[in-house]
Amino acid sequence: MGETLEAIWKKRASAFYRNSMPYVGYMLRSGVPLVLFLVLIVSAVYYTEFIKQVPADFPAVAAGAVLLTPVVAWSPLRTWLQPADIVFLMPREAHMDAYIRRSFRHNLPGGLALAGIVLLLFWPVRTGAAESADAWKPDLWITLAAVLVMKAANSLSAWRERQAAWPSARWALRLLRWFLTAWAAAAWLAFLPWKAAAFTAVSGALWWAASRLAARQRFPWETLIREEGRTMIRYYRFFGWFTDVPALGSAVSSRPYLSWLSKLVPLRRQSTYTYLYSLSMARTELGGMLLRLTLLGMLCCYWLGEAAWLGGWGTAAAQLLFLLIAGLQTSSLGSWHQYTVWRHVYPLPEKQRLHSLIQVDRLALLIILLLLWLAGSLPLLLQGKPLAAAAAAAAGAGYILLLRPRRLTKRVLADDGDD
Amino acid sequence: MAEAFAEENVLQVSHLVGGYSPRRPVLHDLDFTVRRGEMMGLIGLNGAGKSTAVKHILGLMAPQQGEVRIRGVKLEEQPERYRGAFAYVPESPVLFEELTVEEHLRMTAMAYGLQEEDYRERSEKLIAEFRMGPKRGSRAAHLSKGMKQKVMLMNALLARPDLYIIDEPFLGLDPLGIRSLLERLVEERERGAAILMSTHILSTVEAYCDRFMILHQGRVKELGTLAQVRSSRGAEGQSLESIFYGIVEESDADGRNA
Repeated sequence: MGETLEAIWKKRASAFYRNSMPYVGYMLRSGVPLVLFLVLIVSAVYYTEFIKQVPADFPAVAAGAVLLTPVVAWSPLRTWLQPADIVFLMPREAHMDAYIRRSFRHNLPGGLALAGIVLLLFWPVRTGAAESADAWKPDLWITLAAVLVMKAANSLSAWRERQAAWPSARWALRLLRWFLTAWAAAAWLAFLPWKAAAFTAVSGALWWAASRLAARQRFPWETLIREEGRTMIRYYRFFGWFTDVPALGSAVSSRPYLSWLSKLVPLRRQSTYTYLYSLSMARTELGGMLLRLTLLGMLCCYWLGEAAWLGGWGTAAAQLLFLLIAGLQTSSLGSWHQYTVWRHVYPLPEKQRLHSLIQVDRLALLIILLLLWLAGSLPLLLQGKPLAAAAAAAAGAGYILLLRPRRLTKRVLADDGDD
Repeated sequence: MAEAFAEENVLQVSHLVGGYSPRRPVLHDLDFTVRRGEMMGLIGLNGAGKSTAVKHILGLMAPQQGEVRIRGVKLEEQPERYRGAFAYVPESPVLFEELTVEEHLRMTAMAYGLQEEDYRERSEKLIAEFRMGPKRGSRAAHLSKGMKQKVMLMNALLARPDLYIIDEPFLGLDPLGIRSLLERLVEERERGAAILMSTHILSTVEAYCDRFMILHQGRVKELGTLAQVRSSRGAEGQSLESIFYGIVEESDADGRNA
């Protein structure tokens, strides 16, 4: 008797896709595909305009590295492993190679395709940029081959990273890998192939040497199970934008640099929910998402502000856009702790729930607005364009202080009415 | 000779230093063996390092120093022999929500390479003994916590490994379940299996374990039979419980004075 590990892999993969199908249906009906399609058309139009006349001072190499690094370095691996496997699959560890190979076969082709597509889309910018106008133009096929090889190498290196026994070593190796990948990507866009190849080879060797320093496990069960859990939660959170997804638990990180926020909440009964919500926001994936979104937003707003695009109104619009997206994210807080058993076990101040929710939501968005504004509008002020800067602040504040509490209240009351 | 020695010591932990970060080890120089036909109790307060020790033995964590051998081999030397030599029962039951009780047993039989015939005979016996007959076709999602724990134990017992690693087995079990488990563990010990059992129920350790180890702040404070520990501490006639309290208070006092 014996079900092969590959058969188990297949069964789990098809179970995942079967379970996801209904959500895809909801997604299609939500109008998101239409919006995506419109965005695609509009950006295609802008992009074709852009590549017809790439500005002389456009930093094509840097832009290319920024575009290529994430698609080349990011190497997810679906393993479908779960906590029970420590008991039921671990005895078969010696044969897990076939199982993991199946995972690689699942993830790598998509990764290669994505990296290739990004390079092909970016290529006209590189060849059109002035940097290469005079002396030398990189060869598409050589660069494409290099990108694909780097992608495959990253995928294998990511496996070695997962094997590292200490979390600190894992992080250090990942950081180094992303950094070297960014440099290597830039090298292939900027230098002659033999120079870029030499640079890439040295980078690879350096990373390999570094990876040998850390103690490694043969099969990193716990790391893989944790990673799979996180991926699963991300998928369900994504589906959660379109419909209710049965709670799947949520990934939690400690984020000590955000803990001070909850310490500001005074120890008194009516603040119980404020305390709970602020901690939930800081520690769960929502906090991570807001952090990433804010950083990305700050970067974009800064660029647009520095360039004073559309007389400064570009950055103002971008600040509002990022604030609205952040608001969409924090809205999910409304359904949190709604069905928690603690509502019935602890004497929680039920009437304060909505109030606390609005309070935490408001504070988080105000902080995000402040950061976006500092990044985007400060350059405007320095350039003597106060109008757009003031308008961004006023519109943002209006949204957070006036519009938002009403919407949240309506939403939460509607949810409660469903009970 | 080396082979005979290795066979006698089913589990051999030598000078193990471990934890998640080399800068902050949780275990300090852990050194012990569990022999064939021996039940070893692992006791200690919450946070004493019991779970970390178990994770190192399972090979889920890599030793910073020292080594762990099961049936004479290290995990990286012969993963198949190492992994196939033990069954593990975690502190809180981990099951596949979508599988039934019987399907879990079947999966274990596959993992440990049991023959169809053995699987049928053993699983029937276990299902009867743990009174899970009416639930054999139920999915794990529909079982109570105690029943889930029973399923974990049944799976471990089904494999009849050389070594059992059992973390807090009595949580959530009803009195009959506890009795079945202890009876089966005694049988397994007589068969020659080695058992490492971590628990807070000191009376059980005292009654059933051949030897025990008291872990405190990641160090072995006492190791041996009850008689040996009593005489080493000059605590003749005392129960394991009072010896344990004595050790904890003593090292806490040392910690304060240091």
